[in-house]
Amino acid sequence: MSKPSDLVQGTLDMLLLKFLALEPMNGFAVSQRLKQVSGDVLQVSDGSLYPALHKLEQEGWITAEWKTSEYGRRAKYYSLTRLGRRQLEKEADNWGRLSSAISRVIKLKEA
Amino acid sequence: MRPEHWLYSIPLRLRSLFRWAQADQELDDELRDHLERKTEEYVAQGMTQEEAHRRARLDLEGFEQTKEKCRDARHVTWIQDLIQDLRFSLRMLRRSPGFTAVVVLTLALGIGSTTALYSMVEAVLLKPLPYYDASRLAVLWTDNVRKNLHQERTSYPNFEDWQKQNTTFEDMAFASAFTVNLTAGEDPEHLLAGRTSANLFSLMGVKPILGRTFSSEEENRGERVIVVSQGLWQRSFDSSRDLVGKSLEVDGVRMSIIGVMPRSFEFPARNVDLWEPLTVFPNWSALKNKRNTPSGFVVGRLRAGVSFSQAQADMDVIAAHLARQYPELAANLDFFGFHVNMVPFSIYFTGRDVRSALWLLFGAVVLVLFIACTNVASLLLSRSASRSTELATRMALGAGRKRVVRQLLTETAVLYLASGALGTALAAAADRLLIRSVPTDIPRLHEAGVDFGVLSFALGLSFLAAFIFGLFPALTAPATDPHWALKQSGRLFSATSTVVRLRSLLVTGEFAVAVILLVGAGLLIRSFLRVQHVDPGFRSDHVLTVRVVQSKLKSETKWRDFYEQALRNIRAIPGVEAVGAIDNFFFASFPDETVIVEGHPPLPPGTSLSQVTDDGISPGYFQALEVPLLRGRFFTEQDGPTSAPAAIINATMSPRFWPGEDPVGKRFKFAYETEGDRWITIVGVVGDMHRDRLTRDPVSEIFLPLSQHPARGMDLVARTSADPRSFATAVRGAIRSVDKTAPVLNVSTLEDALRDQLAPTRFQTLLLSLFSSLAVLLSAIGIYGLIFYSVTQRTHEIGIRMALGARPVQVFRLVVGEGGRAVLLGIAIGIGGALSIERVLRNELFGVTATDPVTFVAVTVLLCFVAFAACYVPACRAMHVDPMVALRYE
Repeated sequence: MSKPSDLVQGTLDMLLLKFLALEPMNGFAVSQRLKQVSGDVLQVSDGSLYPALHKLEQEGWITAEWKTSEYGRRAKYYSLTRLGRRQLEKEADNWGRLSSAISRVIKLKEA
Repeated sequence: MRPEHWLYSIPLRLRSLFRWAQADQELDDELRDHLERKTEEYVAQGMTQEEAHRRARLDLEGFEQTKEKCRDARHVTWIQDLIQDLRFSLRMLRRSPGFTAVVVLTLALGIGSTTALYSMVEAVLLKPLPYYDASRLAVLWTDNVRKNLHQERTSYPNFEDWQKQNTTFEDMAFASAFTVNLTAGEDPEHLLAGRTSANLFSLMGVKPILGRTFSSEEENRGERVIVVSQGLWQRSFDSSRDLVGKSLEVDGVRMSIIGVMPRSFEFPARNVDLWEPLTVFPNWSALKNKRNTPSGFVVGRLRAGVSFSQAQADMDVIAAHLARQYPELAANLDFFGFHVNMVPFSIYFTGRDVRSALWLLFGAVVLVLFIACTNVASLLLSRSASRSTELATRMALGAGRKRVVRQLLTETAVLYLASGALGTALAAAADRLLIRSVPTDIPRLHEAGVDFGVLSFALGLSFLAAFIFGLFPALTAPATDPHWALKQSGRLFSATSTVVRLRSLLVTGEFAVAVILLVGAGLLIRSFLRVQHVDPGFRSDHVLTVRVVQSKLKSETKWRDFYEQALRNIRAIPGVEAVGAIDNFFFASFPDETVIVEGHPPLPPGTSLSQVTDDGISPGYFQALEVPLLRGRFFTEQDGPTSAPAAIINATMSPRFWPGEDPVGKRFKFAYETEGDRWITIVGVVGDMHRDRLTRDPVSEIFLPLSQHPARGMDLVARTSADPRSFATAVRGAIRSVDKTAPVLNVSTLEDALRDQLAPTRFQTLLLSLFSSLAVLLSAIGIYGLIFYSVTQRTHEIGIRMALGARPVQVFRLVVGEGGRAVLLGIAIGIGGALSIERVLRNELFGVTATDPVTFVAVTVLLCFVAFAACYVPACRAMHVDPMVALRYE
């Protein structure tokens, strides 16, 4: 499976989990949200988004169900599972440690 | 992965797999929905409908590609590949039904017979015994080192000392098996009873299915209580729940029933029907203090964590201690000694003979399976070679090498699994047939059948064989370069020669294994023929034998009167020409008596030469069996209870004890008769009889007149003028007319009894012969297939050679040469292997050595002939190839 080259490996999973932690939504909404929140910094193509969602579902971290949206349209809605919440905490933790460590390194004064 | 994780992912994966169409449709819907929304968004931004749609698709990086990626994310492709492979395999196999049938039948025979034998091995040898933690149970024999008798019974005082002094056993129990008669009814029933210490039941860890077992208090008080077997309960009491409290008359004594033991409890002997406290022995008060009277045998439960060798060491210490404590006994040459021989309970239970016979047959059948698999591998090899164009096409179209190998392995696995299923069905049928035809009573054999363990074995075996024997045909196939293979359009000379080389190798292996099996079977057959030609020393035709065991009569005089009268009555039956009796016609134990010869120094003790058997016989016994008298006279009515003690000895004994002398008129006495001076005079010498097994050398035997040595039980033999079976009722009636309570057992003809003795050997020989015939047949098919293949593939080449002037003989040599070399090499290797099976077969053979040259030569000649015959047909075809036709071919 191809991964977006400009994202640190595994980060996409974490972002998706986080979005779905906020509220259940369908794939299209996720893609909109990604764009809104991160501006153009995190470029995730639709072609990478869906396989990533399916992988998360396969892992049991998110679950999907077909619902009719407010505009009377059937769509597949993803929501976080208990396992997914735990996974999100773990990944957020890791991410926090990693980013602070990297920041510390970057902030070292040059002699 | 965590288990809860599987909880989610497994159903999803199964869904992706089995509701593949639905999952795919949903994926399609989801992405389509996305596309629509995206398009709407772009339209809202001011694009035309077409432009918006194009952009949306572009963003998705290709609709189908993304779908494929999503499917990949679900990790199910390998299973779909597998399903595809399976479908393809089934299609391929259906397309060549002949090939499929030959392969499946060959393999089903191999897997089926292996599975059938395995189910027996499992039931008899591998399944845990029906006792609590049976691996900690041991039987403790007294080891009579001096007389070379290692599994002897133990005296009760010795048992008590073992029990008190050991540090390695949780507990020990004492038991002996006895035949008793149920005497209440009109027709007395003859049963096997266990007389045991009360702790036997708890030690073995088996609970009664009804009531209770006796306590040690009851044992010590000598109460008349018994526990009956499930079999007896069903047979005689119709499984009545209120059995407890009822009573049974055993040997004339009323015993009250307190419990029922389950069928699985077969101790101290097989088919034991009731258990009584040891104290039921009429002479128990004397028996329990006699250290030099062996009266029962001992079973012990090791403490947890104690090994058999530790326990044996412990018992050795106790033995040494007892020997110091009782020096006068230890010095007595006739005493059985204090040594202990521990045998794991499982070995005691099944018997060493059965164990080795089963493993031998199982080994043989695995070799047959090997040959079957080799044949199939050989077939697959040429098949994948003939499919090289197809495989090359697939590789050229982008299939990876791994993928092609997997495809071929799947095909093989399908073949093997189908054969495994058929084989298991065959095994289930074979099991029933074999169990019915096995002539001996093998413990737990009737439990053999296709159960979970056997099914797993068959499945595992099929997979393992498919992998081992399928892998290398699969690996050799795609090794060819696709470009080259395609250009040759199927006629691959070099590929053919590789296949022929590999197949020759397989043929070599087959013939090597066939030699080993055939030599084994040949040796057993030769040995069996030898046994059948042994002269038993008596005439066995027209003889009826019956066994009578007295129970009501208690004194020796009454026994004697009873048997003398019974013999007279039988003699009076019209058609009975002679009649006789002996206390045991066949003996199973080793000779264990020692005698002192008047005027001779005693023979060195502890050798089989110095030990003798003694039996009481009636005057007419030798005449009834037509045993030749070599010297002196037979017993007559004059050898009565009060006349001078007389004995007849056999031919083997005479030179051992009276070398160079005429023993008639000489005197001896038994070593056990320490007090008194009862010298016995020899009145005659008779020819040797094989009363043990035909395969054993005769031992020294002493016969004493029945009148002077009456016994409770006797074997009666009657020589009849017509078919002895027709006299059974009359003989039974003649005995009953003396005492209607006397049970008449084992009514049989002497010929049948002798045949029964040989039946296990005959059966084993038969099975092994069957397996080796199968091996020869399969090997013949193997070499036939090889030559046939090579001829078919080389028709073109042969045509050219013949066109250039090759003579038919040269062609014949060319075609047969390679296969012939393979066969000869295989036979040579096989002979080498067969020479090393001596260790396995040595104990099974009689009158032939395991390196018997006749067998080896016969096997070699037979196999060469079979191989030549199998080569001949295809080779003839090669010789008659018409060069013109062959050259025009393609």
